[in-house]
This record gives sequence, structure tokens and C-alpha cells, in this order.
Amino acid sequence: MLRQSIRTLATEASAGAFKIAQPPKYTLASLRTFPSLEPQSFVPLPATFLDAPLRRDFLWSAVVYEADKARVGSGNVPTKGDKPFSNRKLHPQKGTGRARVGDANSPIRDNGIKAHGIKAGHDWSTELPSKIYSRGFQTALSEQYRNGKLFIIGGDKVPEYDQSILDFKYSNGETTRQFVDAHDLDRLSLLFITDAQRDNLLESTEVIGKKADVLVKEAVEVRDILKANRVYIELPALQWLISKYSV
Amino acid sequence: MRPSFVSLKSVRVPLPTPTIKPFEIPPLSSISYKNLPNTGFGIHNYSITKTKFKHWPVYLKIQNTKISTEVKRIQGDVVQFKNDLLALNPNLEITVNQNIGYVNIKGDVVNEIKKYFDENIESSI
Repeated sequence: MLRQSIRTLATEASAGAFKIAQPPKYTLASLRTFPSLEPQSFVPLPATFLDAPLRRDFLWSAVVYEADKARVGSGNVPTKGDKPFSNRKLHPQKGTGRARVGDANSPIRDNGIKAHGIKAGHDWSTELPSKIYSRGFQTALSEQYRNGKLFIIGGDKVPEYDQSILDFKYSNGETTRQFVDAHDLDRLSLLFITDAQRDNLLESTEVIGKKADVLVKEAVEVRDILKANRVYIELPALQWLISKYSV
Repeated sequence: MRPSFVSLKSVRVPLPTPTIKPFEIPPLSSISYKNLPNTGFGIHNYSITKTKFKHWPVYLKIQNTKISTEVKRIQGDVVQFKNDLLALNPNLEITVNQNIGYVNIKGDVVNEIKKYFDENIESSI
């Protein structure tokens, strides 16, 4: 019965042959304080960033684009032009009964020289329309939020034992261990996205090594969001990302 | 050394990057429950938005000799949209891409579909 009443609500605006309804514009996101992660209030954020449908093609394109961009391009293969051997003719042109040869730099000899080898300083980066990349970002954030793995840190109501920024009060590793124990995050990879550099967080999370990734908002990629099992993001950083990637 | 893209990087003067203004969160009081999810959007209904140049997203698609009409920008229940089109014209041969919200119709029916949209959707928004 409830479902039926909802249905009528959504379609009351439509008329004519097409059943037009307006898609949701905003989602309500909980604002939490750190490190207790207690929800204190909530804010409306664009549904395109936290409630976008899962489009694996956007994620794939964005991740491939980033991986290509990250390649150093240091592959280097000696070619004939590098001349690792002498220019001396290996044996006389005529009279030996053997095939004609020039010098030892020929790529047809068994000497490691390639006819068309790749040279270092190669740019492997590919192009992707910025709109597609933005949709990838939106899809990644939405997917984590839908699965309850995105925690937004911020807000005005702050209990005395907590902070509204994504930072620990102390820089020793024990703070991170306590955080991991308290939230049952053992062996999960964590991603912290901060608005500015947070020294205590950076130093403290070193004890769990690769399982924690602390990034400033400018450095975040789609790959980082997808790799993480839990994403903790400051509200100003999320606002910045929303502004940057809203097509 | 041959001047390459990499070696020229050190010479290039970086342009000042424009600062990004963070998204402004609207006050909660300004948001109606209709703007939030779970109000039944996508259950036997859908939305079709015009492009930024105020055109309907209906395009002629030519793949060698195969000519079809593509309708893009459909959010929500695409199958319902197909059924609504069939109610208007039962002769249309329609295929649906539910993943991305595209609808393909056999033949060139661009003007016909645009006419349906003008007659039916403009009034309801």
C-alpha cells in the first residue's frame, strides 16, 4: 500500500502519453566526527555524486586512463642507431664462401639489437573526455557510498573527544591501532582524503603501512577510491571534488 | 639530444591553474522531499532532459546501410518509455539499452519522435 502511494506521488506531475518524473537532485549524507565516526548531522549533497547508478564502463575508462597516465615510459631497447659494436666489416665482401655481412650492429644478428625498438621517454598517456572521467569519479563515490563505505567527516557539532577534521590528536601509531580496533578495520585498506596536509594522520597511519592511504584532495584518483575498503573524506574536500568533477 | 616533450618540460613555464570554488551546500530547509531519492523515481516512470542547446536528444544513427533513430538521456525505467512509445505508434521496432538509458528505433523516425516529445512532454514539465 505504501509503495502504491509513493507511486502516485512521483507520477502526479506527469500528463499525456509519457510518464515523466523528476529524478532526485540531492541525497542526505551523514556528517560524522573523527575518530569516533559518530553521526552528528546531515547535509544535502548532489545525487549525481552519491546516488549515481553503477556504470562499470565509466569506471573502466577512468581507471585505464589513470593507469596509462601513470606509466613512466622508461622501456628502452638498443637499436642499430645506438651502435654498441664497432663499425668494422666482419669479414671480406667476397671470397669467404659465406653470406655478405656488414658490421656487428645489424638487428638480424643474434646480438640483442632490435630493428624497431622502443626508446625511453615514451609517453603512454591516453586521452579521455573530461566528462567521461567526471562520470567515473561520480560513479566511484556513489558506489562506495551506496555500500556504506564512504564516511564524511565534518560539521559544527563536535563532542569534546572528537574532531571535525580528519586528523588524530596524537601522531603515535597507537592512535591508528585503536582506530582500527574500534571500528573493526583489521586488514582492510583505508583511504583518508583530507582538505590539507594532516601531519598526525600521516605519521600515525605509518604503522599499518600500505593498508592506509592518506591523500590530499588534489591527489585523489578514481583508482584510489575503488581500491579502498573504507573511504574517509573531509566535507570541504568532498565539496571541492564535487565542484571539480560536476562535468 | 633531440628536443622531446619530456626535455622541454623543464623549460615550460607553468600556467597558473584556476582555483576551484567548492560546491556550496544548500540549506536543508530549501530542499523538498521530492528532490530526495526513494520517492518512486524509476518505478514505471523516467525522465528525458533536453540538451544544453534545448534540443531533444533524438538522433539519426547511420551505420553503413543500417539506419536507426537513437534516443538518449533517458533516466529511470527505459522499458516503460518503450511501452509508451509503442502505445503512440505500435509499428515502431524498438530496442532498449537499459544500462545507459538509450533507445534505438529502426528506421528514420527522428521527426516523429520529436513531435511526440513536443506534444506530450513540454506541457507536463
